[in-house]
Amino acid sequence: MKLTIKILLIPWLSIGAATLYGETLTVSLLDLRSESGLYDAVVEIIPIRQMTPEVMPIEVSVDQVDKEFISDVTVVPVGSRINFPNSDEILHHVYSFSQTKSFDIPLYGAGDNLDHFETFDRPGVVVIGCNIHDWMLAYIYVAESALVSKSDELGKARLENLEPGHYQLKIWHARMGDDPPLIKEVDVAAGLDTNLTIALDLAPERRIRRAPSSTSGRYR
Amino acid sequence: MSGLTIKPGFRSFRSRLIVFLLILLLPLLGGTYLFVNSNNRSYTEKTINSYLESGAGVFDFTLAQQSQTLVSILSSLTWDFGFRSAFGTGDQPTLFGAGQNVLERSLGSVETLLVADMEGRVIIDTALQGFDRLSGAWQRLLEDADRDQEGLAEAIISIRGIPHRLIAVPLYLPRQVAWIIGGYPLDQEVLDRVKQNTLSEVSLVRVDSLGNHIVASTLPPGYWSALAEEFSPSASGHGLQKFNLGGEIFGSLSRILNPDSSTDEQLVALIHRSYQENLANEKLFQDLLARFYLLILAVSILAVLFLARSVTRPVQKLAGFVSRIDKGEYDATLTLNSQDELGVLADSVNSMARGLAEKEKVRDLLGKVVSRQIAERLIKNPVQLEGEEKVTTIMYVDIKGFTGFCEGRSPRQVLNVLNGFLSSVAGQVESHCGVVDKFMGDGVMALYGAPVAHERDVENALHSALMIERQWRNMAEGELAEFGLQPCIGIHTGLVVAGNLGSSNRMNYSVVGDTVNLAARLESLTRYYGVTCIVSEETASKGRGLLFRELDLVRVYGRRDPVRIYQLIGETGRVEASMLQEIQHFQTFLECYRNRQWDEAEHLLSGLSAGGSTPALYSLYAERIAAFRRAPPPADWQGIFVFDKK
Repeated sequence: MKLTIKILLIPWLSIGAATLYGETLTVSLLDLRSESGLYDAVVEIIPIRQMTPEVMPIEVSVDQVDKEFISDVTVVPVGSRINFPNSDEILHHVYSFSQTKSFDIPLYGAGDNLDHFETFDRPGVVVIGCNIHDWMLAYIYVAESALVSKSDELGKARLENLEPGHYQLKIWHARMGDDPPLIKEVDVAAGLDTNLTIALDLAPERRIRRAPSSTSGRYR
Repeated sequence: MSGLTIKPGFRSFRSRLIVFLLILLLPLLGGTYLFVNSNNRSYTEKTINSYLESGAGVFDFTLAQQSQTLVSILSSLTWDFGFRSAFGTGDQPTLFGAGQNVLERSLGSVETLLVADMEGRVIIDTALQGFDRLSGAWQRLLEDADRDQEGLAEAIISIRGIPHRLIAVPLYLPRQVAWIIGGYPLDQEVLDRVKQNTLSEVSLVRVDSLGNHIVASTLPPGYWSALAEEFSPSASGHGLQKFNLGGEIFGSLSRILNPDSSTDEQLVALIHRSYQENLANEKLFQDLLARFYLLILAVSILAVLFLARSVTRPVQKLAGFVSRIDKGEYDATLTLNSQDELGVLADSVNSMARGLAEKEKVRDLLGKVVSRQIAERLIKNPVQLEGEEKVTTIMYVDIKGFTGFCEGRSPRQVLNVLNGFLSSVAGQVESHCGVVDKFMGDGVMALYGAPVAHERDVENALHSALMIERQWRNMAEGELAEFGLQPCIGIHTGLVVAGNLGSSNRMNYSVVGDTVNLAARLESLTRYYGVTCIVSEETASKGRGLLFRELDLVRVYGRRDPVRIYQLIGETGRVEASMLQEIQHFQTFLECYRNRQWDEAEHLLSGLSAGGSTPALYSLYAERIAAFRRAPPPADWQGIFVFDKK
């Protein structure tokens, strides 16, 4: 799987009200294949010279509803804890063999393991699945910085209240597969909104198709 | 006359029928045989083709089935938590163990398993080929799989020289993290399995730049090298190929197993079917057909023989019957128990035989009443009351002294003598092509030249006269001679009217005219002249080879012109010298007589009378001269003696 990245546009300046640590970086990601915004891409910036904001771990739930993880990509700061509630009437078996975080929560039903949190204390990408339902696939992006955002359906990821300065920009998307995140450097100017547009040519992700009749039926 | 003519050819109706039957039947049977044979052959071809198609179908199905099983097993690995866990550990020996476990659990469906990461690095390889990174055909297999939406691809790749069917599937964890490549060898075992299901032989041929190599085959190993030699890769996939392997003909269909292979190596599966079994069946069928045809022929020939017999037997019977009729057995009757045409023919032949019998009776009767020649003529020609003029020689024969002979004798005796004479005369007449015109008391009138003319009628008449005279001499010894019985014969040749004389109901074939009368007169004159046979000048002049003596020149009763008459002496050269001399002297005498030289004439006559053969003749002339001396003839006398009565 090859990753082709093209930077189409350089940042342009826009005049705005300058506030203390109030700069905004908007990264517009373009999917060259579909020629539309790249959804669910993670954009993380890491300050190079300026002070790194303190990372505040959080607790998040990645629920399983109708034999799907409720979120395809969940972004958490490093050290965060995540539990995987089961909202279906059948059992799920959540696992991960990712090097970032490997865990295995054997079969459990609705209401179980609500207090079972997995701590994601290493930055990186964790792929989670259900051992019963092969098509169930979700990603946990463990960010090393607090400055992280996901692109919306238009492919725009917005980072606000930034201190002007020089940053390392990491862009990751599930379709990158095992490839490392795209790393760039970006300057956030004071008093100006920084806009960045990056076009990515990513191969389509091959996924196990959901069984056709698995959306209905009580015991599917 | 119309006649039945049969062209020469077959000697028997039976042969003709048999030949006709053969001409009719053989092309028909031959044609049918060829047609059936050709269809049979075409059917054999079709059957072989069909077997091969179905064999190829089963082969394809077997491979597809195995591939499907392979895909199922490999795909299930990606859901196998144990395998996933083993992969998840990243521990190669653990994953290798899991891989071997898969091989064992697949019961032979998967014989080799290779797991490679997304970069093509080999993680485990149960075949232990010893490479770290996939390349070549293996790499192309993964590229194909990567291009496929489902991540599936298959290829045939040789592992340790044995072609393997390999299938690549993704390993999801749950995202694709690796490739699983599993496969099974295309070896003898697979081919044996296909053979079990199709009863067709299967061979696997690897074609590379060095030639053809038989990888595996269900054919006997003895055929392998022949197959490798005969197989032409260029003909692969183009329908039926035929191979002669060790004398056995095989029809073969080919399947290129790696049509998309980018290597020079090609793997071709051949499905064979021997013609031997079908040819044996064909031969059996041919034999049966031939026997059946022989039976038909035999039955037909028997039927023809029967038919021929049913025809020829009556025909032979008919022929025999007709042959009997031909021999004159008219009284027989043919009986055929048949209502068909032959029955009708038999009736006709019977009716014909009856008709012939009646005709023969008439002929017989006619032959007795009239002469055979006349009877024939009467039978052959329509009887008409009209005559024809013809030159005919008439002979009258009578017996001198018969009236005296009859006196004092019984009628039986008389008839015996008479019938003996008449039979002798009639026999001589007929043997000399003459015809007895009628019997008149003790006399016979015979015709020569009528109704049928012959070349030598006159001679025939004269010869028959000589023979009658001779025969009479032989017969008339003893008693007959004593009574002076002697035949008298008169012969004259001239124009007569010949034809059927009488009424329309009853008639005779006969001749009439002056010639007839003269002949009768001449016969009467024999008594006067004392000779046996007198012929006219017309007759004597045509009697070649015979000797005559002129007797006189006479004018007979009822006739104006004088006639020179002659005595028939015999055949020239068989007459004695004394007789010849006598004739010579008599001729001289006649000249003197006619010249009224009475003295010389008498002198000559007295010489002749002494020991002459005809004393009556000489004494007659002596009396005539004496009379002339008394009353000489008129001055215009020409030597003619006139008879003024019959």
